[in-house]
Amino acid sequence: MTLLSDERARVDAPPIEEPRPAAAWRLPRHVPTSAWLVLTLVTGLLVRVINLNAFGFNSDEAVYAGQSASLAGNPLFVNQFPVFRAHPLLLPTLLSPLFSSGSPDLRGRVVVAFLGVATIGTVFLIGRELYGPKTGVLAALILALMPYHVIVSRQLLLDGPAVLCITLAFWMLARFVRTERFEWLAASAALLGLAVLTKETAIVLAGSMILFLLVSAEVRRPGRAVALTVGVLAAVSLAFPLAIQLAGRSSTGQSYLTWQLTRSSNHAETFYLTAIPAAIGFAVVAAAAGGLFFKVNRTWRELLLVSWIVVPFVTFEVYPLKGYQYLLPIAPALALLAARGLATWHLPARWDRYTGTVARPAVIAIVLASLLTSVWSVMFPLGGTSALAGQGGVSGGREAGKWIGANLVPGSELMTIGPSVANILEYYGHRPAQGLSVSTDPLHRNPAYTPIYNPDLSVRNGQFSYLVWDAYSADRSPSSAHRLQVLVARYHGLPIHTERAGGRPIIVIYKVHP
Amino acid sequence: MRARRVSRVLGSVAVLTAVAAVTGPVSGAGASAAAAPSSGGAIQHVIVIMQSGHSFDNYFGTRPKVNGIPAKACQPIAVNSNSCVKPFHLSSDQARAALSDNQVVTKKAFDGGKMDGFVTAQSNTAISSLAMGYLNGDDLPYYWSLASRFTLFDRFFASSQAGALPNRLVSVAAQDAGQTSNEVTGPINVPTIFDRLDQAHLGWKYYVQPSQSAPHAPTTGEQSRTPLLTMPSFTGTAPDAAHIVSTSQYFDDLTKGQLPAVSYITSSIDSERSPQNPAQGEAFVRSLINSLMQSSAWKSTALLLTYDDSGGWYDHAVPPTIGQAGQGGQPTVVGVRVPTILVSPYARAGQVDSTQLDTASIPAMIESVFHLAPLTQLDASSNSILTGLNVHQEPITPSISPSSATAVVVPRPAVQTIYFLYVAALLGAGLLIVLAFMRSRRQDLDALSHWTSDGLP
Repeated sequence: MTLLSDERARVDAPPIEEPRPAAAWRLPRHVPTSAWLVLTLVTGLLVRVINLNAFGFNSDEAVYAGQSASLAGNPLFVNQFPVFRAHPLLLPTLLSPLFSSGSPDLRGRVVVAFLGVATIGTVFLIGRELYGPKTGVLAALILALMPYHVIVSRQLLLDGPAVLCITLAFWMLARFVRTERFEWLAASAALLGLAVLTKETAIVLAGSMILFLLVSAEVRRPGRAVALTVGVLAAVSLAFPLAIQLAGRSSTGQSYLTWQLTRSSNHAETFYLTAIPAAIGFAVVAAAAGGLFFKVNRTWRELLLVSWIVVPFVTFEVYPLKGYQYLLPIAPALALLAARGLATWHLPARWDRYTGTVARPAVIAIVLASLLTSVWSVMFPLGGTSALAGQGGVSGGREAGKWIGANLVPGSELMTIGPSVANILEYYGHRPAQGLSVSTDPLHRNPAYTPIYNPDLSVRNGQFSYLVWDAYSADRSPSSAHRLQVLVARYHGLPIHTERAGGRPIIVIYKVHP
Repeated sequence: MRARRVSRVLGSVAVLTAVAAVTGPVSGAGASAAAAPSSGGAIQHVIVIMQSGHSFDNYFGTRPKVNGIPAKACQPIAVNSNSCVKPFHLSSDQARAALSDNQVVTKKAFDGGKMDGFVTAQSNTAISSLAMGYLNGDDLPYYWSLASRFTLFDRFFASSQAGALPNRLVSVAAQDAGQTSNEVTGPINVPTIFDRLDQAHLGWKYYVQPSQSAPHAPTTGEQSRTPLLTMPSFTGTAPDAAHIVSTSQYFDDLTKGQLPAVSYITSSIDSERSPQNPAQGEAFVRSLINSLMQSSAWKSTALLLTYDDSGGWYDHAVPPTIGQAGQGGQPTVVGVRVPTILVSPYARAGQVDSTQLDTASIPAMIESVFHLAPLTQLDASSNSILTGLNVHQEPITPSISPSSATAVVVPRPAVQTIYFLYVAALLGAGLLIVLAFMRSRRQDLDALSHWTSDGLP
């Protein structure tokens, strides 16, 4: 069955044409493409798993791991981490067997790292589909070393697995365009549905797909294609609202939806323009943009990649809520465009003979080297106290949590500056913790968090015997940090445990009493 | 009249035991109540938290497996009336009803052992029926949780029917020093358990939750809650006065590992006596016990949570007669039953101990633990609270009960439904993908063989 009539169906796709075969790389001919791909995948795996456990979970990781454990019925988490929070549960559902006992962290990250490597492999498949195996390998290598993708896929976040599904979806969309077979479009929409079930923000990529289907001249019946995409996507994604409704927590889902839609802006409008290019690599961005703007023979392939990038970028730029990892879905497309640019650029005609022998390999080497430098700092960070959510683990969080678990009586409640460190301490310490910065206004807080309505009273009546100061939260919320210090001073705070990084305290646990 | 007799008994035994009071500590288990269980050295700290004004039935009368409210309980609404009031669950406002609570009221309620005057004894008829009200585990989650985890006594009586001060005097001196009400008519000079502790060079403190921040002369209420304030021997000299400290010092002492051998703790604003809110007193006690559990002292502490009197609330248990004729006193009837829980790593977890005890059992317990001589005949003949301990058991691991803010348990969703839906979505999507691959399998195989054999040019 195809979208086209049988006589117009192209069962056999035309052979892939390299943009400029004559200017190809001069690399050893006896090394097959598969070997380069394996080398790329191994590289991608190494940079994602080496030193993976240097820091404990950050707040988001703790929440997803806690959800997985709670879903699995892990007694340490069932009462501490509600199953339903802000996002769909495909990943926690799949990971839950790994979290059925104890409070593990490494195994979840390893799974995500392997899914990141699978994304690299998928980028190769798209590159091969669009531009041939050589460009595919280069695109895969760029993604393998792209700090943005490396950072996120070294964490137990939803974004890495969601991007795998998105990348697979676009690969199959490309196959649909090339073969005009209905099955590929249906599979593409289904994979996008799985991406939505991993993280609901992936729904934005449906806009990319629809835009492409409507605009591309290669799609003969765009209306039918869009209807098919939307139908399959909706059918697969339906598991998200159905699970909330049928599992008995419909009000929870509504609370999160309300909160997500009414959250105030957390970053400036320039956030993505300032934070993301450096994470992707300026050279990669330049290569992608250069190849796109200076190479004139643009086809549906470029339209596909541009649609893939533009729709999420514009959407998240307009959306007041910004997140470091929100733009990760565009990373594979950028890698592909960059690879295309690097594989096809030429020196001026008089020096063109040096393009393939010297210039192109040199430029590619420089681009990859620039990525490698950044990736090195990702693999071996100096400290995990970055104030930017999603950029890595929190130094000392795991250690402080484990100390709490070993030394504080079960049930002891902790007051932290903010909910992020509270999540981490709850995950590793198995003691309830609440953030001082959580708003008492239901419209301005995550429904999962319980506010401390009267911090002073709650210390006086003995609810909180331990106050936790941390550098990470103090950087993000100085006013809450000050309030906590006031309580520490007022209630005879005695530091009983300190975590340090680089000689300076990063987490201090105080014992307080009325 | 009967209460005055109680007072006479309690006062007279003090005279007889005055000699023992000055002879100092006596070594050996025989110094305390005969055949009293010993803590075997496992207990190094005794803490007594004495709250105010609630009966056993008022707090635990509906708890399963205790000597609780009888099914047919019903108190006449007036003398010689056929109408009666059955026990009922109190609202939070009703639980703060200012019931009458004094010697006359308790006598009327006792009614010669009939225990049928709890409603008619109340002077304010508008709220008299509230005396039959009770609270349950939803109202007192922490106390009920303590009862589940440690030893609950369901036959612990206030020693005196005359009010808070006489009972609190008994708790420190094993006698009421002739007090028949909370009004202090003059300085009280009787030997106390603290004299015994001083003589044995054992540390002690009387922790008081202050009601006012500025220094002031003790009020009647403060004196009734802290009987040492009625004794010149404790208020007159600086070293003794230094033993009476703020509850803030209790937390400090726990944190610094300086908890004395014996601690008495009394509250002013959170004592639970009507019209104070029981939940607030419960939170106060929770903070005290939580801090203990979080300290190094926990592993060697026995903490007794009890009440000075019933506060006018109904209790069905007939108070027993204590004291023996011919031993310097005469038989007398004690007061109404009060809630009492023994918290310790060696407590018999979840057990209900029905040993007959009264307020005089408190100094008796301290004497037994630290091998001190009894103060009076009352503590000498008292049954032992230590029956609630088993020092040979594996110590109970401390666990902090969640506060009301975090005790809200989110209902667990139907996880099978979640698994089913997400796995179904995954399989459905997988089916579509497999279908796509199967339909173009040959084409893909061709392409695969093409690029795997093709080295980079």
